[in-house]
Amino acid sequence: MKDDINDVLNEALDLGATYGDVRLVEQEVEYIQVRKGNVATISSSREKGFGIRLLYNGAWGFASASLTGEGKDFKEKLSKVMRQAVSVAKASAQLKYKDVVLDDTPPVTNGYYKTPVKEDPFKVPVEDKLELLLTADARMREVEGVKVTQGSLNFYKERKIFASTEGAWIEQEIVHSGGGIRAKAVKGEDVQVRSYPNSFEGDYAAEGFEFIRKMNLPEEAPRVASEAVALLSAKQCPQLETDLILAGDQLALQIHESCGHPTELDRVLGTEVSYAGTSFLTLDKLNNFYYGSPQVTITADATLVGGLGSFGYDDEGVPAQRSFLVKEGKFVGYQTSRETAPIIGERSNGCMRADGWNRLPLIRMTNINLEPGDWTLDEMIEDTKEGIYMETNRSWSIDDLRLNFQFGTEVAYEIKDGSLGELYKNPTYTGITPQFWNSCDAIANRDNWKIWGLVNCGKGEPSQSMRVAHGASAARFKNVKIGIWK
Amino acid sequence: MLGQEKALSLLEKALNFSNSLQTEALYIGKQESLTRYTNSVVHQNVIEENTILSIRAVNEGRVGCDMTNSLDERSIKESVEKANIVSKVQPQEVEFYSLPPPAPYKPLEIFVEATAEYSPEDKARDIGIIIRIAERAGVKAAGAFSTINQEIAIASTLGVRAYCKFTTAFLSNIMFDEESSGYADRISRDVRELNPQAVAWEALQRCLENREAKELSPGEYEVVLEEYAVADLIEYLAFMGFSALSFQEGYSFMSGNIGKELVDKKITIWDDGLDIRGLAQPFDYEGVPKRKVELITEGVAKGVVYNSQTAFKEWKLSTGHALPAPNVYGPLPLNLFVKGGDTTEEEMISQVERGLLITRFHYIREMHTLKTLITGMTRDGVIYIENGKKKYPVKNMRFTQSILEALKDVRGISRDTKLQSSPEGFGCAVVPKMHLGRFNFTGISKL
Repeated sequence: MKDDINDVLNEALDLGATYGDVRLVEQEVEYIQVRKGNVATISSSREKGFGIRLLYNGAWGFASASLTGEGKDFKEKLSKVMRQAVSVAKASAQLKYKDVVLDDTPPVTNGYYKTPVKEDPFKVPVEDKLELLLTADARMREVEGVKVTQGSLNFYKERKIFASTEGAWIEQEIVHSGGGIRAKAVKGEDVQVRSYPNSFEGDYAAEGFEFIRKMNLPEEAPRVASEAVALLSAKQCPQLETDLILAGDQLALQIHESCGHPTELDRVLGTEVSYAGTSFLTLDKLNNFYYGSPQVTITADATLVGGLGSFGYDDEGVPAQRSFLVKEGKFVGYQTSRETAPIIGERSNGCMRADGWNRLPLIRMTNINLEPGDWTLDEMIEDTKEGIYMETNRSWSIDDLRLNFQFGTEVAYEIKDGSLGELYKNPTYTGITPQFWNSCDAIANRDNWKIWGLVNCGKGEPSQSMRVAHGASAARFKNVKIGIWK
Repeated sequence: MLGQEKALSLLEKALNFSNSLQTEALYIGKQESLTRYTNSVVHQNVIEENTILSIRAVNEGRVGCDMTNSLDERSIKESVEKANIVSKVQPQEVEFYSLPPPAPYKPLEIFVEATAEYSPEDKARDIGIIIRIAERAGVKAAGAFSTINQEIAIASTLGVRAYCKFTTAFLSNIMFDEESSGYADRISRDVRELNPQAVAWEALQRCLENREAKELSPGEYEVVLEEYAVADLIEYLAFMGFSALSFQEGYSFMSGNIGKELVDKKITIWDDGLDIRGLAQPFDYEGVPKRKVELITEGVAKGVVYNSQTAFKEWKLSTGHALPAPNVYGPLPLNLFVKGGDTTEEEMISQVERGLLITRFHYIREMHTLKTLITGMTRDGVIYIENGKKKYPVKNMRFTQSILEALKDVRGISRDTKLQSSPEGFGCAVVPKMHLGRFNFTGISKL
């Protein structure tokens, strides 16, 4: 196979390409969902294919095809798709401003990475997985007033080979495990939801089945269901400006939307104008703009163990790295690629990923983390005279510059004189990104810090759904507008 | 692309490998070519060829699904066996009655050779037209141009045999500069109907109209919504309430409300997968023929859409709205229509006392499904209207609004309708423009 791939890459050079890479990807997914005591879905899937990206006459071309079999057919198909990529690049070259230039990242000629896994989730019997979910589901249904219960497990394995005309050869095996439970309570015209350990069908990590066992889903089930029911009779979250403490699970999505996306350099340069939008963090603001308060330090770190954005090498063959996006409040870095990094005088920090063999790599978040502070959550609450505590995302929206955001959470508690008080339903909060982060005056310490996995980060056309993560602990923000509802 | 004979023969092979009580095999073949442009250059240009074989095995009410994109005999057999095994390991009978029986469907002319053969060079030529218009006007152009050839085949041990192939062409364009932007798009089965020049001029006009935008205080305003914005709202409404799954489980606004007046009498919404004014398709992903379903007629809740599972629960017939298995959303209406009215955009604007003309919305998310409460932003063109006249463009605003509440005060609906398939939405919708009496804006976008 290696010879076939290298032969076709050489053929691309012979045809006039100045750069080319091949990604051969195999993905395996298992998904189980139980619903109201029944098995709603058990499914598995396997996908195999390759994508070829190349530069011809200074412009990009990309072509891909699914893969069946190997040997002679494989090489022929590879060659055919490579020629398609050349013809696509020729079409691109008709409408270019200047030639694409890549940075000088040296090729990794013999790279290997494997997610550290204790218990291969694909080897755990389906019966065991079902028993876990059905037990949790039954415990949720024991709580009176619950209308719909749901639990799911989701496992993902990706094996990929990256090779380039520069001589790169990298093999990686990535494994992700995730799952969670959810209870929905309905009364009249009200519906309330509670999830554990997070919304979006739970939490995910680059770990094996040991990650699922640690969740203790059956033990948490009665609490989750009881909270959903309690929310039906809770007071509506008041509309006011107050101090807001966000739990780590909600803060993860806040980081995602208001720091992760706006620091993607391709977005800043306009490549997503027609779809998801651009970014307020324009080039003139780099090292020249206070994104947040001095407490706020945000990193992009693909070297963390356990995050969905953890890997050995990105999909351009660049080694995983840790870099600063915001340092003590100052905006100091973007997430970059080999094409975009030279525009700001840098080398790629390794953020290019594609969600499959049939998609072009884009700048995608790795593990984007709010670095921990030195407060405990209890101290933070005790230090708050009047405020609100919100937990677990329910809705999220942000504008096309990543400035105006509005989030809703599943649950909130009043904070009065340093203690948690009344339960509120339908909590929401809104703000403008830099104003919000500049109002951050306290961040919880590493004991409260956790990496949260998200599997539904959308970007690009055709749409790609990326697996990313965010390390976060609870944090406090001053004078935030809450309770937007109509 | 395999063609009808080879596709159905592949599925026969899969069914022959199965020893489950019931088995369904779904094949999807797809070729997609997409060119993206921004800052007036092509920056991403891709082509893709893929196949999916999905097996659903049913054993005593227990269902197992497996998917592969490898179509060699070994992979097909492995997929059938996996579906069979996972269906049998389940500890108890689930609420699954049966795969649907075969039913005749009406073939539709939805494959257009011109679309299937449209090359990246053809797209570059059309994008060049858009870019030249942008350059002459001193703005930049961005967007995407895609063509898709797709085929679907379904076979089951109950005798279902269904095949169709179709094409889709989509062109979007944003004209923009430092202070302004305007949007336009077209979608069709036939690439020749996209008219890049018209798309460019439409977006450019909005971009030029949107310059020197002012801030407007949040609050309640009348709105005149372009088709893009109407489609966003209707597709979200459909997602939140027109599925039999949410209806049966009690978290749809339609639950318990059939026959009741929910919105203004001017509002009539239906789904019709056979109407070629939309992106028609003869059958759903279970091979059940598409049926027209009245959802809201003259303001009154009429019904929801069903797949075979939700239909069996109420001893009804499936309306042909199944998504590919496995899916957790239940059936969805993907071919929505909103009845046109008797007015025009100009006439609607002339009736506005104090309101906004809105091109489209951005990043809509549901906040409360039963109340149909959503939030989102305006994007690519918002104009303030006072006493029947357009006054000045305004900066993007956040809204927080119940869709059903907004549709209770409909002051005008345009005669003409347009086919939309929104990146924010699900499926497609043929919709008019609308003048709504009250829409709640809760914030503005500014640094």
